[in-house]
Amino acid sequence: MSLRATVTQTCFLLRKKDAIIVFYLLLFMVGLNFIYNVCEFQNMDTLIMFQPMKLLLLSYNLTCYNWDRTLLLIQLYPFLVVIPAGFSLMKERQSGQEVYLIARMGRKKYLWSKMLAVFGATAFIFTVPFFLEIVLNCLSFPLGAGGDLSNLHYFSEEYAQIVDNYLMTGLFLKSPYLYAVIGVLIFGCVSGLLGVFTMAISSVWKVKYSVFLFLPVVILLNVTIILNNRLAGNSVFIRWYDYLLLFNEESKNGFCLLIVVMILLIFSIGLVFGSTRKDYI
Amino acid sequence: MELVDFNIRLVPSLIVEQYLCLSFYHHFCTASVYVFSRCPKRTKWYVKECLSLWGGVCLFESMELISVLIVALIRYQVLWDTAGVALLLYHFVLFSLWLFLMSMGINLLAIYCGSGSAFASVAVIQVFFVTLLGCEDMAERYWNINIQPEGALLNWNPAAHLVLGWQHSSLEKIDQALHSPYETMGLNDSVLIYFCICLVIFVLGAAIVNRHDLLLSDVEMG
Repeated sequence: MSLRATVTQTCFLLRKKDAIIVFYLLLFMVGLNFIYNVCEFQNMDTLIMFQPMKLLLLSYNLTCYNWDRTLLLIQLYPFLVVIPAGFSLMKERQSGQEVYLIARMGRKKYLWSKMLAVFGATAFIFTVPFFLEIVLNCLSFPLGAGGDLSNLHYFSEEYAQIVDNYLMTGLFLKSPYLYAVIGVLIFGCVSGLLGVFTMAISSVWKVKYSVFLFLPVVILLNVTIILNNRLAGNSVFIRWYDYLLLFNEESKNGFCLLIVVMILLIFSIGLVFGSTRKDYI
Repeated sequence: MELVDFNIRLVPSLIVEQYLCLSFYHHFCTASVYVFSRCPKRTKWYVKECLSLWGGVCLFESMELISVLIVALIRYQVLWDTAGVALLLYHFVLFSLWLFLMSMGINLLAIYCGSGSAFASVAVIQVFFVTLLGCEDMAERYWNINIQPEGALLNWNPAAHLVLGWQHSSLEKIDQALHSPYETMGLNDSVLIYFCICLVIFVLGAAIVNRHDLLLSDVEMG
């Protein structure tokens, strides 16, 4: 597939109104969180100050102190992740642009470059605002602060158990800042994959109304929460935000995330591959 | 994070909204010239479509409640009393009005910006109101303003009227069953509020359907 076609399509997707709105919405939420943190924790002594990375919007640990904004992100995420690029193939098919582009570059090249473009555009939109927040937090708060928002003592057993439950515990213990950066990258990549999943479904099943394209991701993400609640007394949590948010203290299995990501990836690639071999009149 | 669970309870309604939001919007996308040349009285057509939408909403809500009742009868021992039946009816009415309101909103917004954008906008508004459910003390937390009586701010949040446990009733038996922590929200008031909002949206919708120029563009085609 052509790199040039992928880059062109990615730039095109990033300039669309939907993508810009979602980007600025995330930027606004991040900005609001940052301003709140600065107002709340200014003049706090470094010895008692919380770890700056635990004040991020993506930090689950923040919910121990103030859960409003993180809760809003958790509830909005299933809708926001689809909007930037998930509808692009459907809209191009309905407007007739697909015919023009396929005539120019061929069906296979078009679909594969579209898939990569959707991944790239969605991942970009769901990483840049959070990277910006990391930079702002590093500049505004003392880097040596190490407090936890659950107010557990650093050397207590409960805190050790909580840290043990983080994904990439070793990385967190080495450097919380690198942990946050890698965590945001993982968040962005999974968001990109969910965008690709939506696009892949629209490549095989022709939908007339774009509202139906919200269904796959909304059902997928909410099913993890419903199943988690139904499996009472389970030792491993399977809610999506337990894996995607940083500093999450619930017990989890990183292998589950890997399996789900691989299944989504294979499913999406399979659907797009099937679509490249279909004939359309 | 109990609000995440509350949001999960609204997911079936959200999924049905995705279907119901096309109930009269799809006429604007397909054969609108045909539809409105056959039905020149648009208001009459609009009222008929709204009634059809309301029928769909009632059907869904009754199916949902019947399913819940069947599961409850199988799993637990259910004791029937007047308060319980009354609460069931209130639940049916409140959630039907909420679903009707959301579906109508999406239908009307979709005429201007397409079904995807309309659904996303209404879903975001719904999520925003649900998040605000836990921010009853927001005024005190952020601006040091103490609002009395307790729960007064919740009256202004449409999503708060879906929580039956926060409301009181003039009927003593229902009031005893609910044990509401707030005195400001009443079940009858919630029904009236939702009915008034639905009426406003209904009138607005009639104006939009009568005045919207149908032939110029199909927003669904991008």
